[in-house]
Amino acid sequence: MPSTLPQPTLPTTQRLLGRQPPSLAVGDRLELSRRNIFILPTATGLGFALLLLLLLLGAINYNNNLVFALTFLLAGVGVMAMLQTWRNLAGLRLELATAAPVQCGQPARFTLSVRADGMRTGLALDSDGGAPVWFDVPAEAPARVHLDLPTRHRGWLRPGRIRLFTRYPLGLFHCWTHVSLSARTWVWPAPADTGGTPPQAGRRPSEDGTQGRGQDDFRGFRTYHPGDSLRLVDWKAYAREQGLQVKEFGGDRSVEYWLDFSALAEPDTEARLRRLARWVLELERDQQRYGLRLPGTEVPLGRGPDQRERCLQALALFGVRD
Amino acid sequence: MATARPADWQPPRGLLLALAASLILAGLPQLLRQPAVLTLLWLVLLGWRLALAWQGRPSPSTWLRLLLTAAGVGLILVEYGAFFGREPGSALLVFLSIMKFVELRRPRDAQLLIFLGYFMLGVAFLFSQSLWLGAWLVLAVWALTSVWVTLSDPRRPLPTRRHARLAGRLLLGAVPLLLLLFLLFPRIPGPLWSLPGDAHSGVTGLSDSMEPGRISELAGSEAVAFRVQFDGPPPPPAQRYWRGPVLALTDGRRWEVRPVRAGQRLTSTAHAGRVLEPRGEPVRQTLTLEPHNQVHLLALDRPASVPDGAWLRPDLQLISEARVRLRQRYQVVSYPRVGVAASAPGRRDITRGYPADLDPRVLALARGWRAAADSPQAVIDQALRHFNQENFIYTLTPPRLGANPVGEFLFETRRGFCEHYAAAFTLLMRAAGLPARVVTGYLGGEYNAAGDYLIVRQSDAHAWAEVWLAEEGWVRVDPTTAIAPERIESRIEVGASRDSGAVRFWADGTRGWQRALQQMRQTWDAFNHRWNQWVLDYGPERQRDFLSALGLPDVSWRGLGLTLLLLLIPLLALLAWWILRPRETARDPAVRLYRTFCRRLHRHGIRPQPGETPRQLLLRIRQTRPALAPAAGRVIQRYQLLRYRRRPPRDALEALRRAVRAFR
Repeated sequence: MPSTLPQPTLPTTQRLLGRQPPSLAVGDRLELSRRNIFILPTATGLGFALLLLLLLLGAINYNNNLVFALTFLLAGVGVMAMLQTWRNLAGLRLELATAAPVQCGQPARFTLSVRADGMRTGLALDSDGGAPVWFDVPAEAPARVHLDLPTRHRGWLRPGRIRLFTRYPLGLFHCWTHVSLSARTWVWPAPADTGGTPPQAGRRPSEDGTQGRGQDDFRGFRTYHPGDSLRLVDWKAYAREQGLQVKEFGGDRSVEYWLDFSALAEPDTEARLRRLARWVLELERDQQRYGLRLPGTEVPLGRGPDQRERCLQALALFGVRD
Repeated sequence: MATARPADWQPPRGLLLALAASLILAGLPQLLRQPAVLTLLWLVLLGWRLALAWQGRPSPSTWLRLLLTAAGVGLILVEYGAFFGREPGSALLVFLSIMKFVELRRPRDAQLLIFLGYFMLGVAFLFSQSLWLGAWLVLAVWALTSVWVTLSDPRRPLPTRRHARLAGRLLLGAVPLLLLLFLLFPRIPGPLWSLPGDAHSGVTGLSDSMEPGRISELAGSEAVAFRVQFDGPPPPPAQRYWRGPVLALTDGRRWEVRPVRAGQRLTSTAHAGRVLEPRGEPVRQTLTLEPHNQVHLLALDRPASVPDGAWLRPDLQLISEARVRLRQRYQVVSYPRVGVAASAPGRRDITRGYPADLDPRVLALARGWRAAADSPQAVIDQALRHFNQENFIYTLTPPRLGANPVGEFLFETRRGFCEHYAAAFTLLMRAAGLPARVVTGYLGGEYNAAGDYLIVRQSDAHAWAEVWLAEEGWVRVDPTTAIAPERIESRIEVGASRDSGAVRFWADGTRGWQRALQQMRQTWDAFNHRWNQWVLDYGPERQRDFLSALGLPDVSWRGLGLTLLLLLIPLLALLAWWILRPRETARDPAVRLYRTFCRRLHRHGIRPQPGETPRQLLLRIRQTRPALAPAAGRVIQRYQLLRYRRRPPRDALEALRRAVRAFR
């Protein structure tokens, strides 16, 4: 049974400190401060410490004051780099925009807007295991950082904990913060590869009398407009030198489709849902009227982007707890 | 065989160029010092790697690099004859860094190169610590750090001005920590482990023995031997004899210091009174001796006090307890004139002895003088007259002398430098029955008005004689003055005398440009002297002095660590505040300038209220502080112009800036 993504365990530092990472909801603003910024030396930093130690030993042994000076200068540079790295994250203000629903298998894009009181360089954002996104924050405007999360299941997608980190300016220190994003978006099942035809529920004349446009019933001719499909051009009429005439079809609207979960043959729930998703997308593309029946829920007949979204959401969240 | 290396990283050309340039800068002292062949080859290697990068080709294969590395290391081995020691070690470090540059196939390699560059700087200071090298340090560290910042910027792989600026800021911010650690980091005397054999090579100075030609070698060196500051005025030129090793033992050619038993050491100033009886005014001096890797210390003739860590030989030579391997400062009291104190040398004392195979002509000449003279002083005068009236020549390039140098010199070549005259004179005196010895040291010194001290250089090295006279004790006799009296007043001109061999003396600036040049040299030397005193010679003693000046006498190691920590914390807090302080967020320069103006107003006791318009503020200033009103009015009028005029004049911002600057 698919459900929400399992919440990863807390990172060690926060477990040790007994602290949850701060959470950021859509529309909220979070300012990073010393309470939630961590810093540790990197491998390069340890190598640098070794270099300093070697220089210091040389300085002591040869009693060489300029080597002392060089050592202390570099030590000072290391301290400055530590503070600068820390400052790179401190005081950043984060705002979160949620992601649009997405089909399973395609990345869901959350957008984080990052603002600072000056230019910040060499920042990166990543979530568990993902490749980091590198970005700078200009002095004047917020940086908009896109976090593309992979989707593996239908249902709710929560970005969960993300990591914001930097090693600038010298790569001696790794400074990071975890933010748990309390936003979610839903992921609809990837449509089945083969569809078959959706079951027609019945034909009835449209209530408003118009027939709309479609491909089934021939309605008559009209003059050609640039952009019309060449397949619809009446070439015989053209040969009779009557100009370019285009065949018009209509009447599709009169067909209604009820997509019923329990009417499908597949034994597997997911396979049924994927087939239903495919039909929803196809019917919507063809501008048909359709409705969806799932055990326990029903989406009444309808048409248009809202109908599509309602159906896809029902499919995405079928059997999923909040 | 070319195998694909997927992990290979092609550094951008600009980065590669910057890396090569900073590497050359860091290795510059070594590149200039080592044989030109090596430097040329290394540069070819660098250029080759750059050319490869320009053609978009990867770094050479591992086999080729191993081969080149082996060849280079072999070349260094051939040039230096060893791997261990300061010189070959430094050469190897630079070469291997260059090979790392040739390899360069991962960002980590570039990072390692930066570290190697810093290490090269440290190694360069083992050879020289001059002021120039200090300035070069700052430049090289800056260059290396800039490239380092570039390496750490994931989105800008090429060096930019921003990176250089940031590196500069990091270095500036590091200065307070540098000063604190430099002053307070516990300094321990002595090395932690034994230094390589050549650690102190290349230092010049007088040695503890003298052979014909030894001192004239020194005369070619402009290197500073020591600098002296006096409590009063410097002594006149005729008294500027700096006493070094006293040589009494001789085989006719080589002169050596006579051994002294431990019991004869004069270890305190009070002991010194046993061998001399001061007369006249004492001269108090502070010497800063350059390292010469010997035990003798120099002092104005004749030293009568014993500095810490030294002792005095009975022949009035100051000896340091350890070899002088670091620049050393000490204070000595000297008396240019002393009376007799010690008893006369015994009948079989070595100051009376001469080699059994001494040239009979020398013996005959001396005995003839002795027979004709009525006093020892007359013998001395006769000898000096002899040097003066016979055809003796004072030269830096005397002919080589054979097995019997004194005889050959006195009767055949008659060309010599001070050591020839001193040695010949001393042996003549001994042959005539007067106890005599050779004293080596320095004569003269250049007064540096810029720093109020005397510089004595290696080219001032000199040798003279001392003769025992019953009524006066050991009397200084300088036979060189009989041939070249101007030697006392003037310094030997180094460059000119090298080629011709003729000794030429410095004439004190006769022409304007000469005087200017001399003055420049002196100012530079004064800078150098301060640099030596305050930077290079800051050691355990100076640290103790500094701490007691701070009111912390006798601080232990632990106490020093604690003090350092206590001072470090507020310093780090200050730095952190500086870096982390909230920045001025206003983007509009006019608003920023107006805020500066408001801060300045605050200093005058006027606090702009929130919500108060500039016009209301000006009215309030007119009422409360009319004196400020005109200047404040100018600021406010220009600010309003910028704010509210639809198209402010182009120079309005500049005008506002000037008005704010003018408002104090």
